[in-house]
Amino acid sequence: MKRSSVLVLAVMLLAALAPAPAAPPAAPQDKGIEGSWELIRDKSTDIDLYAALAVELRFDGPGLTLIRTWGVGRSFRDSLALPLGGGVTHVPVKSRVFPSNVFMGLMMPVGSVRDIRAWRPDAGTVRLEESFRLRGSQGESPATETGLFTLSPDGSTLVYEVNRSTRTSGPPVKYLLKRAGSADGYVIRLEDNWEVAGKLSVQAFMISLQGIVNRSGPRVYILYPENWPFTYVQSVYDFYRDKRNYSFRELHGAEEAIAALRKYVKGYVVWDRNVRSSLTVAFTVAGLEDAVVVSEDMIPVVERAGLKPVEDFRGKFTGWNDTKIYTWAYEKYWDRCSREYIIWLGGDAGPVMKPAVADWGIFKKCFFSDLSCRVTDTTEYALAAKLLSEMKPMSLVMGWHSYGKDLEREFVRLTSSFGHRVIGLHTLPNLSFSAQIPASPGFRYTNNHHLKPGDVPTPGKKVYVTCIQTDGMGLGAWLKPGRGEIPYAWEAETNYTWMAPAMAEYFYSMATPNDFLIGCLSGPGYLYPKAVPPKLLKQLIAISREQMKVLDLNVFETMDYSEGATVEGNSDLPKDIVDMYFEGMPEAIGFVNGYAPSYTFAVKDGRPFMSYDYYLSPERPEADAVADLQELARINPRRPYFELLHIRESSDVKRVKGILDKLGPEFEVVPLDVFLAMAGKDPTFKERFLVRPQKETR
Amino acid sequence: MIARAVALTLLILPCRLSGFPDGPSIDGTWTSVPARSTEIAAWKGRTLGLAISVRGDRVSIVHNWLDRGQVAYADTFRFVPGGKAVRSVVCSVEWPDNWLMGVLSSAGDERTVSGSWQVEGSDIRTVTVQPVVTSQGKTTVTTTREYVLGDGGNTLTLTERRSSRPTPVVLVFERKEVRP
Repeated sequence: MKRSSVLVLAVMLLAALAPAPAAPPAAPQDKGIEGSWELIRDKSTDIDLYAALAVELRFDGPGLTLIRTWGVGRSFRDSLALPLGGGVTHVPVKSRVFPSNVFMGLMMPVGSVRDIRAWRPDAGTVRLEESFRLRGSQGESPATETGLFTLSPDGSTLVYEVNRSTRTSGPPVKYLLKRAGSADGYVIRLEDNWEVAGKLSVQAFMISLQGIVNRSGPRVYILYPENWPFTYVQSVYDFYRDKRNYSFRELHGAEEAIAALRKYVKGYVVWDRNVRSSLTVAFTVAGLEDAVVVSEDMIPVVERAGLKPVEDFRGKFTGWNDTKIYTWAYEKYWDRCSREYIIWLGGDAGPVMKPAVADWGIFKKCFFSDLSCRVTDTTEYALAAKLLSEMKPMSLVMGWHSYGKDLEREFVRLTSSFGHRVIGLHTLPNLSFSAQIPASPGFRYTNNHHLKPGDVPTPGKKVYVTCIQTDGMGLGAWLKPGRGEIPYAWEAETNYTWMAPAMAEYFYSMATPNDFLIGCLSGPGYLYPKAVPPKLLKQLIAISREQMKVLDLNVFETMDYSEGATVEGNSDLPKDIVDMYFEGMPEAIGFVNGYAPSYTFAVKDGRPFMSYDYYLSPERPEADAVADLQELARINPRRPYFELLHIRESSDVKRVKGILDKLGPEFEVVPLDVFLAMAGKDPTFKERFLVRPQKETR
Repeated sequence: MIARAVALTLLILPCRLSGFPDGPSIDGTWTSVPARSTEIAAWKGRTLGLAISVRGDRVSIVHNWLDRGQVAYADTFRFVPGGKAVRSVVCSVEWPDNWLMGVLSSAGDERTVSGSWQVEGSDIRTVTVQPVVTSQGKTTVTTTREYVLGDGGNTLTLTERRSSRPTPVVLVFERKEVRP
């Protein structure tokens, strides 16, 4: 490779790997104990009346200023200036309030004195000892209290533990605080109504608001309905709240949301309920103008918030087809739109739209469309190709094709032909939020490998079965029953390294020893290698390789429907492309190929490249699936036989286990990495590539 | 009156065409009844229809894999019952019986089909020796198919036993029309 090529590749790698997320809002860089802290209520001892606690710690030479403010609005402030090192400070009591337990019949005797001593045993700890008098219904008595403030190792939280002489039973009194102003967010719940004529208007408004507001940091998280295709929405929210100490204030309805977040929004754009695509264009405008999208009936809501219209599409596109609408949008907005990200707001079509990915498109100032990628839809196809041709190579096409216009394979074939990569789906939620939450300090992505480097188990005369779930971790069975009960592999979205690093942490930290993650899908994003220009494919594989290193992945998956699907098309790969993966990913212990069964098989230096031998459809009755797997084992008589299963994401692991348990003693379910190592050692499959017709020579 | 005459004609027509006057004939076009059949792992929404014709001593059975009513793939078995196995060259890699499994037809290789009446004109058994390609290479699958009429000739049950499969595939069809 020429040096200049190496340089270009390196620059591209860096660009693709690290679109550095913006810093979270108001997240102080100070890592020490000094500063302002606020209570994380859900993780602290209950504070009855005041409910909240803020702590401020300041050091001035040998002195400590400690301010504890109990409550917000109606509050009690306890401000102390104390020498460090154990010297006693006498503090007169001026208020009878006993702030941590107002609902108990206890009071501080006004006129009495608190004797307080403070130490700082180390940089991350402050210790207080206090003696005082406390009055109950039976009169005064002496009491002592120890307060210990301890900074967490990563500097993000402060634990405040209280031991009082009068409280000798019950759970320890412990408050967890985070830095004031950090990890504060809003949460919005959306109803399960996505009808253009129904509540899509409200949902689109909220999603556009999210995209705009999150430009200034990860502030707005949306909770989608329980039946949302990305099943993790609630669980990831819990993770941010419980593990990453996010505090969320819920916003109810459009009125409350715009009132709370008005300062981030510059205007509004009106879409036309009678022309569905006007909303798609409105999302483009939303990103460029920081404008929320509204239908006519919502105008009063945004007007009351003081917003002004930046664009009004009512009646604008009446009678226009999508080619004309998007051509108009192209001419008006394209110059200002991102050339690295573009949104295909397809998926559900007709009377329904589920535009969850729009927050990301707005966040990144993307052009939105749902143009057909079907060759016979000549005008839409031509415009789609034009847009894609004007994007930077290896751009990200986010969203999904329109179910009403074309097929997945037509869409991905076209995007791949420009070397772009798809990240689905249109329902992909909260990316503008998750992209800005880094993984926890010091967190390392560690996969559940079952072999030590160099270990190659010897296969027996058996049928070895291994399972991989389709469509990644976020869709499907990850949160459904059975995960962890059998060895199972999951397709990881490797772009999470930069696109949702904390969400990747969420998955990794939940994984059981039986959950093995693999890279996908043909590249850093979904693409068809046969359709990608070879020069770009090499660069794309290099990016995948780097992402896999970060995520500790050593198995990669390919799929190619650019020449049609399994039955009526050809999903196989030619040798030159298989070799590109072998050479481009030297750390990979093996590769898997296909979606439905495919027929490309190879092995190189003990590293197999294997296609799926079985696709478990969610509709397949268990008894028939058992018979299918047993039949494959008979029809492939050599032992060991390696039976690679691709499991549709809508099958949960429980169901899969039920099927595998019935296969009989000859079968053994093994982890994917063990499976590939054995298959590489004793490859009983027959090498097979797609043979392209020889080109005629002149 | 006319309608009744037409209906009567339709009922007796199969017997006359097939040349087996003693009972209903298998000859005709048949549509599947999925609710009474083994779930077939057909590609996408494909359904299976049968077109069976008996002409003199020759029988033709066509398995039509239908995609939205149109024939997407036709698998044809022609033979003389009781006669020699008929050889034909496999033209397509498609193995339509079960797309979930990693099995291809071995295009370019020969397959053989033979058959015999179990009940003259009504119930027939075929045996197909089909070359296929799997991950371990080429092999052959022998499939025995029994087509049995029932319900006075209005239903047909196809029981398919593959040498490689532990359980039979049982498919039930209803007569669609009588082929002229």
